[in-house]
Amino acid sequence: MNALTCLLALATLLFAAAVQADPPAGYAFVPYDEGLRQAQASGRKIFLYFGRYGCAWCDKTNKESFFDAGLKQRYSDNYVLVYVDAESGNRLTLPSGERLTEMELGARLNVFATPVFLYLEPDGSPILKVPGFKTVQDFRDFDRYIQGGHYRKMKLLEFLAENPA
Amino acid sequence: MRMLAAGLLGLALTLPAQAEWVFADFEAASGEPRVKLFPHLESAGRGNLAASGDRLAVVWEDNRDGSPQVYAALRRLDRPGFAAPLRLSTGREAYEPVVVGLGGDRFLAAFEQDGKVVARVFSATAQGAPTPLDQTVSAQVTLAAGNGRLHAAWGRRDGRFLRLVSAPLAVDGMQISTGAARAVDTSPTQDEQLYASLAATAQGYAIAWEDRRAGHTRLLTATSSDGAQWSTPQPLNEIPRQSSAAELGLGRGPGVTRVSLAGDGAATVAAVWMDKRDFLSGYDTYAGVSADGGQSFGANEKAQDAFGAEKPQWHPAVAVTPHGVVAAWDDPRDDTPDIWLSTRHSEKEWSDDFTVTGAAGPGSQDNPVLLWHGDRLHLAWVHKGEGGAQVRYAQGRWE
Repeated sequence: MNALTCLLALATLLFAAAVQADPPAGYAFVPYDEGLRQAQASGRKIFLYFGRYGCAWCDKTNKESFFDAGLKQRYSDNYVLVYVDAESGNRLTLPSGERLTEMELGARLNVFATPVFLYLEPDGSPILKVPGFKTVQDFRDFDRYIQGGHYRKMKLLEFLAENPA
Repeated sequence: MRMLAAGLLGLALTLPAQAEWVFADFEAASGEPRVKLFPHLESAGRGNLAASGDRLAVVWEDNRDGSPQVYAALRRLDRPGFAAPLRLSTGREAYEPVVVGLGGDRFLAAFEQDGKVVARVFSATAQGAPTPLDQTVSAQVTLAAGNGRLHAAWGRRDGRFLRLVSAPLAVDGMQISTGAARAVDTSPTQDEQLYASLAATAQGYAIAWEDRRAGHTRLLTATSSDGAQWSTPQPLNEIPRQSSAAELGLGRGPGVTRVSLAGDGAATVAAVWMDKRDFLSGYDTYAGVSADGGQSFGANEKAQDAFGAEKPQWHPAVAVTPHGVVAAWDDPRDDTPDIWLSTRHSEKEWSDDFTVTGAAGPGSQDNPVLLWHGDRLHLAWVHKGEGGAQVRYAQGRWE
């Protein structure tokens, strides 16, 4: 294989990676059922990212928010990171024992748009659901709200009004 | 005034009553619900219902034997009551079954079993041996039967991706023989081809599938006279020309997924799918109708009415009837998922959405499948309530 062919192959790989709205690179995202197991073992909360192949706003979130090194460190430290492709037929096992597809999980959780970000207790019960593109600061604010346990006492907007960044 | 009233009354009496779908009481198809029993009516193309001879079959997957397995239940077409479920799968786990009628009360089911697509002939009293349709990793099988021919299509693992292949099938008694499987689209494999749906037509076959090769999911269609060579794939879903995301150079297209085809066995082929072009309210049920056996489809049409506009629609199924194309799906417009249907009266003219007794109300009703056969519209769905879940069925007539 000559150098030109190598370059073309590399460019093709990079292009393929760029047009997909897969989980952001460098994050240790795992499937939903694996994430539940890890969370129950570690006691960490879950950050669940519902994306979709070709999803524009997932793409924007990946490029503009998850690219931030500080955010990456913060979320990697504080959460079990779970990614679900909202149109995928990949199968998961729920704690109930039910086997279902990633898309069906989205239907059950009424994930009507992508991206959708959910913060879950280690047992999988939902804490907060936020749809659409979010900035680095948004994700920092959500993290303060979740990790500080403020969700037990007040709504997100109340928390942000009382505790601006 | 008295004359006017008498005239209006006379007019009302002379107008024909508007026909509508009238459904009989629903029946349980999968047996009694049980806690932690999870039936799923999922398959490529939503082909979980078929008729053959004087029988109707519904196929589904559940965990009643401790692992996900495939089951069928049969009933007489003209008599209520399903017989006890028959287990069709024989492996460690099985998923996504589809079924077609073979005549003479026999049926052909196909499903994924232990990572490969298999098929099995069955009737109320006998079952043939499970027959692999592919020796390699494969999934998402769809079947079509018509004009004395049988055909299957499925996703075959090719490197990192599922690639769509199809093959003719022949059944002799309870034995299945499989012809050569060929790629539906012969261009090089670049990304996933998923969840195909086949329909038999007078000219041969029509097929539609999810195709991810463009960096987003498109729905493509093709036709074939013999199932060996397929026409050049044509786009089915329309992509809005302008979107704020596209202008920003982000993403590639709106979400479309889970296309289902149905035909009348002649020239009409209808497609329905989930389409997120209006992304603020999630998926809508969109449809396209072909009058030339699937060679071309008319403009995309939104099947559901305005009352469903603010909620996402899921799991669309379709049937072609003499009274119009019928679409069914589930959505939570009344807080919990219910089955909704709509009939296409003419181009871009769909009825108000309507529900069926037992397929709406307390609990959750989702994952509908449809079949038009024997002057009846057959509908099955999954009901989930406090006592567990079960597959339910009802048949409707146009009157």
